[in-house]
Amino acid sequence: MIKRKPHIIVLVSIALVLLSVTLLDEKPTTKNAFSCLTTQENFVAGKPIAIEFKGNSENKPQLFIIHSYGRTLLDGVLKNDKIQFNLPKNYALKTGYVSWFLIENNKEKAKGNFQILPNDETKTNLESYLGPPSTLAGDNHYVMFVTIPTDDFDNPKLPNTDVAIKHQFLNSISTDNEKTKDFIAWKNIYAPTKSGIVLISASCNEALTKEFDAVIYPSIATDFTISYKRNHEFADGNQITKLTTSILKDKFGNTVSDGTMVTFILKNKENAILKTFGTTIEGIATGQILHPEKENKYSVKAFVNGISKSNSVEIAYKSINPTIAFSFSKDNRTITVGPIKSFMNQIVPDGIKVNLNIYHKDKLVETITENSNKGKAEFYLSPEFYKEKNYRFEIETLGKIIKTKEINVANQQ
Amino acid sequence: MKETSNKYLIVALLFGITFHGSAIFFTIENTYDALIHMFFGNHYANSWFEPWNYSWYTGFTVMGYPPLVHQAIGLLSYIGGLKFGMFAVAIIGIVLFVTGSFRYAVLITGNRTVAGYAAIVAILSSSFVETLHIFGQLPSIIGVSLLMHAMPEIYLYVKTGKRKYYFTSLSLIAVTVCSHHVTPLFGMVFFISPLIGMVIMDASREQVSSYKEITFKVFFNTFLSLFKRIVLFCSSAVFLIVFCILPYWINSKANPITQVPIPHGSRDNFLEVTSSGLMFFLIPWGILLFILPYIFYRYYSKRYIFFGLSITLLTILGTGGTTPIPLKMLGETAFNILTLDRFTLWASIMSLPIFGEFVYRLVEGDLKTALQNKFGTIYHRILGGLFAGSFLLFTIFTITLGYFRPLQPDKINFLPIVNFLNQDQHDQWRFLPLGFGDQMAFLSTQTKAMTVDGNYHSARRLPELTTRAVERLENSKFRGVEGIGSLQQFLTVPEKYNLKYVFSNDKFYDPILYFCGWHRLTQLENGIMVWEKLNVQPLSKILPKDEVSIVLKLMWGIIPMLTVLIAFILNIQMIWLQALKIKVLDKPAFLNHGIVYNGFKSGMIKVLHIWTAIVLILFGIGIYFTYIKNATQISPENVVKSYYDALDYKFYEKAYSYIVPDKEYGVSQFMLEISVSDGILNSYGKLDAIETTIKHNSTNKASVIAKTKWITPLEIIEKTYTHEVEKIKGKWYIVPEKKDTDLPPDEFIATNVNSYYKQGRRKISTQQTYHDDILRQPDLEIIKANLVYFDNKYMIIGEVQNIDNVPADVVLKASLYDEKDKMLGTFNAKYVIKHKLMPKETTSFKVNFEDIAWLNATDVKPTSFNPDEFTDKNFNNKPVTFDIQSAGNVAISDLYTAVAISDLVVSDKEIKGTLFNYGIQEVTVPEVLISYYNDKKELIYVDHKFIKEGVRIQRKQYFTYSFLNLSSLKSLKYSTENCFVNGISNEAIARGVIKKRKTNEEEEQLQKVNGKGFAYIKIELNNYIGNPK
Repeated sequence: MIKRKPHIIVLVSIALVLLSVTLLDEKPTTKNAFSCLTTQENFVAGKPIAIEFKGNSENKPQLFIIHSYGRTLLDGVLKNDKIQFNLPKNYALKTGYVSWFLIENNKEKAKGNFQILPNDETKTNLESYLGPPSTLAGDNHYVMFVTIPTDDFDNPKLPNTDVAIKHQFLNSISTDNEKTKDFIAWKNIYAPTKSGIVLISASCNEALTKEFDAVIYPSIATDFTISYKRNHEFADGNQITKLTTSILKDKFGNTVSDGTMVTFILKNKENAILKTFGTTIEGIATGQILHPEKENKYSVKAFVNGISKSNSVEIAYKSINPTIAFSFSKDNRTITVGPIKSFMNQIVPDGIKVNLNIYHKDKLVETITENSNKGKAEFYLSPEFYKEKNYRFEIETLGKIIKTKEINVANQQ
Repeated sequence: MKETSNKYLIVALLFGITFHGSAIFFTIENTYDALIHMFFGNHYANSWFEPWNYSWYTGFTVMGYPPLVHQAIGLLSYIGGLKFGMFAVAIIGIVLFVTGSFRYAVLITGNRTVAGYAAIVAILSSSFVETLHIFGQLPSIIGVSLLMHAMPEIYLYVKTGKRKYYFTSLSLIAVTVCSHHVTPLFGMVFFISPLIGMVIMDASREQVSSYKEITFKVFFNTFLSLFKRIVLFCSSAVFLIVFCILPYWINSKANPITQVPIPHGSRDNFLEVTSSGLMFFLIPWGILLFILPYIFYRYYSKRYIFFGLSITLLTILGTGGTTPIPLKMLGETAFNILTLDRFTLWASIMSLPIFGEFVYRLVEGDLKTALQNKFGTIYHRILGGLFAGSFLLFTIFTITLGYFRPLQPDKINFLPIVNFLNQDQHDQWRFLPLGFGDQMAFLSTQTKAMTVDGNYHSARRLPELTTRAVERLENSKFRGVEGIGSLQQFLTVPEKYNLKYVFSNDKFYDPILYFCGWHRLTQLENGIMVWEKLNVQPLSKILPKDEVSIVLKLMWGIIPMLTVLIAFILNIQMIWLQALKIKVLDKPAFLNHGIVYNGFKSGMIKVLHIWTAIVLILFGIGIYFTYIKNATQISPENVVKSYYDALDYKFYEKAYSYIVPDKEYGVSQFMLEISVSDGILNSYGKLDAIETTIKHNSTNKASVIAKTKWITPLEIIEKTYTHEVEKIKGKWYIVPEKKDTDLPPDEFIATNVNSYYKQGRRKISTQQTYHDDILRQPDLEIIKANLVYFDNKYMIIGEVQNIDNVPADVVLKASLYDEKDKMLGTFNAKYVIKHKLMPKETTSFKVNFEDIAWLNATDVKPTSFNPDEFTDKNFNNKPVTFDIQSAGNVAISDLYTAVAISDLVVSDKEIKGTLFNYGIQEVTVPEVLISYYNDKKELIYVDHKFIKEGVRIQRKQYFTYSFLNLSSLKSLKYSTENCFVNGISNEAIARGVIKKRKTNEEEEQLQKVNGKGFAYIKIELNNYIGNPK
């Protein structure tokens, strides 16, 4: 606030002075007529522009200019009974309508207007913009190419200036002649039904644009088929089944973009939905799923979410029908399951889940899970938890359940 | 009488400058505070008169700290750079301290030789060493040194009333005020008041023939005769305290410190938190502990009685939270704002003259004679040697503390970061360093770029920070719920702070960054990982600041240096004359009051012996308990605790040594098993607490239950382990656990993956990006959106799909409105969304409306730690509608999808699933997103669960998830009408790409469940990869 005060004081005093001057100056002025000598209505940008008047100039009239570039007040140059006003250079470089008002003693004495046109003698420049930089194939998707031809002073050219817009796609190159309207010449370039890159450029007089490129992406996927591949048909909980899609294509036959997400939905016998995922490479997505640990049947279907689906495929896994041995330790507190033997009578791979369901009086007390190691799994019943004497056990692995009879678990000595 | 130069003082000065002057080059940059002062110095070097600094927080004023030391650093930096400025100021501080102690000791003891001894012991006193070399508190040191310089002048003024001393003393007080405001403030109470008391005592003594004769009446009469001077001096001093740093006081009034108390070790109970006891009690007192009775005895003699009271008060206040007395004396507010270590520092500095006196008497005085007479020469020599030895030991221990127990992360080379910020206009956004320690201040001096964090918490303005007891965001992991919670808010809504880059020096924060939607950009040469967030606007060119009047700015810029100049001119003559001994000076009045050192009281010798024995016994007990607590294998519980400790600090060899020795089970096998167990707990967990109980115990075997509590960046994890332990040859060992034996099917895997690269700019140019170099924002579709009310919270859930042909990073911002369309709140999706989507990939999301936590003083802060916890926004009006603004940006990383749900067992209560990783990257933290649908297959809720262990390649990981009871859930508005994608209507964008959605196909993928309040679920996976290959 302190800083502003001097300004306010200065402004107020200027206003007061002006007011007093105008009030004092109110003596009847003699009628003074001016006539405009300049008849030219169109000027070319970049050339000197002067407006001349004839009349008594002793009161120093001024010319008020309204131009798209801005407004200003010009002082005249007196020549005998003529007065000449020169448009400042930065105003004369810009096209547009110019209105002028001759003012003497704050009174408007004459007014008129003229126009400044682009200078075709200077170099043509071409400003251009392409957007969006990518779009989808077909379906009336398009990119818009906009050009603004200008003269060297950056003035847009007159309407109906010719601009040649060219675009190339595969083997075809086409040229369209567009005329400027409201400063711009533009064209919508509709996406071809094939994916790829469209190159676009334009020319106006000798001015050329650089090469613009619009990427045409394939449209959304259509329905497809799936297939699977596996080493064997046994439910061994170790091998992998690979699920593969056919080449995903859009409705125009383009292979979909790399990375398109495909979800494989596998519904098992218990109606639980298992999932695996694949992203396409050259249209093919591959998902993988581990073989179940027991006999099962998967019904598999793949989706591009909300967009397309595949056929349904059934994959059945046979039980390896293992032979499972088990033994109890002396105090019956350590139960050793194994060796678990697989379909060729080989020992199962390590890491097979072995569940031990422990029942007391036909009530499930706990399920302990151990992974097999060299075909064996060892369970220890700690006396802290298993205080009751008699337990019945179920050994569950690879889809097979072995029930034991009730066993007396001795207390550790 | 012509005085000779005091050789002890000269020795002290030479020794002090050589010792500390060389040591600071190795210590001061690792201290807590020094770099902050350097940062402030940098501020003054760049804009002396402008107090506003944009570098930290969202701008703050440097008028929150007295400027003198900072301005001195800034001024000196013109000669040889910032660091030169800092070291030069530190050396000035050392000189001031040594000379100050000397002058103060002369004043107290009245004996120049004793004062010389005091100056020598001052250099090596552990409290000074700690303050300078560990804390780096330069203003504090300079402040207290100047105060010591001022004290003789004050004495002389009050005593003699000479105008000269009035000006010299006040000029020094003014400099003290400008360098450290707290020192003169408390100095008035603890140093100057007892000093005035001493002056009155001395003046009284001159009226009678011995101290014994000083009665209260005599004392009071003297006091009255000196009253005018005392009042004049005190009021002038108070005036200076206010005037010299007037802008500081005005600023504290205008911006009161809203910061909630930040825990500080000096407020701990030193018996419980022994590390704080060491730092804030044992070290500062150091060797003085042994002669405490002597110090108190001397200070409680009649002449010094007021100093005695003062040092008692200081000693008690310095004990922090050990006794309830400091809290009661200071009151809750002051107790929580002040760091109490300063009281101990002052107490130890106050003791210096007496300590010097004791050493003098021991080395060449009456104590020597007394000891030699009583116990013989050898005893005296041994005792002296032991005393000097332990004194030096304390000093060496203190100065090397930072070397053996690093207080800071390793020194970071900032050049790559500075280069990164200068590149490509990266400095147009704010950045956030993580895990930098106090070095972050040094980074800020080197770059124009700003950070949301900062290292001077009194100056913070953002309520997100002032409401948290968090020192810095940078080390938020050490501050539990408040730290991580605060950090989360900044990472979830970074656009609010124009925060685009995070420099991470600590892998701990990686998961939180990933799950908040950040991605790794590049690793710099210095090993710092740069994380980036897309869709954050750059800072505007003009930033707001608090304007202060030009008068205050001028005061702030001119007065401090002016006080130095004035003090210099006023005092230089005296120093000059004293130093060069050109003119014989009057003997200062206080030299007449020293005691004569003849006859050390034998009672005192006895007391000192007994006291030393007590201190030694206490030390012994302390050491014994520390040993028992820390001895690793002497009990079953200790070995388990030590094992987890070693694992927590990644000392694997040490951890292995606690395992039962077994030839078959070598350290390499142990390491291998450790290295394959990845996951949030093993890779990012920080052990917060461990509680052990022995389940059963026999002489040689035991089983120990360890209840562990781990802080991870995402959530708290409590896990109970049971360990069998065995005693072998008197040492306890842990029996190793069985490891997962799962065997992957393939030995060698070949796979094709989609990978992406973004060019950024195609033309090498520093110009603003051209139109044609900007990638089109990927199109998204918000498929479903629903405003729900559940568990007393309003939230917006939904589903979003990347419908473009390129991978997209998704930023999702939802706002709630009441029925009058007034906005109630807005927030971003945090953890419950997959932030990076492949083309056509879908994710469910949930937006919670978080408020700035504990904004109201009445809010109860949770005592337990839960990083997932947040404060819900309280709505005055009921939300009825919402909008969602989503933005897609091209993503190129963190797009791993190769994890399958290979088995699933669904019951009414829970699902048990198996994840199988069939790709070629190890998933460190798998996140399961579970969406709930009602019987009309409308989305009603989305939940998430982080799985504690990672999924290795071609291996399984099991998880269990218990269903929620959604019976009470209210679905308020199920509609996508006000959803926008990249600023355009959702519907317009989506139907341009997908003419008609096949919703029935989506519904086919839902899992039927017989749940409470829901009928279907969907499971999605979000895979965080800790170490992408």
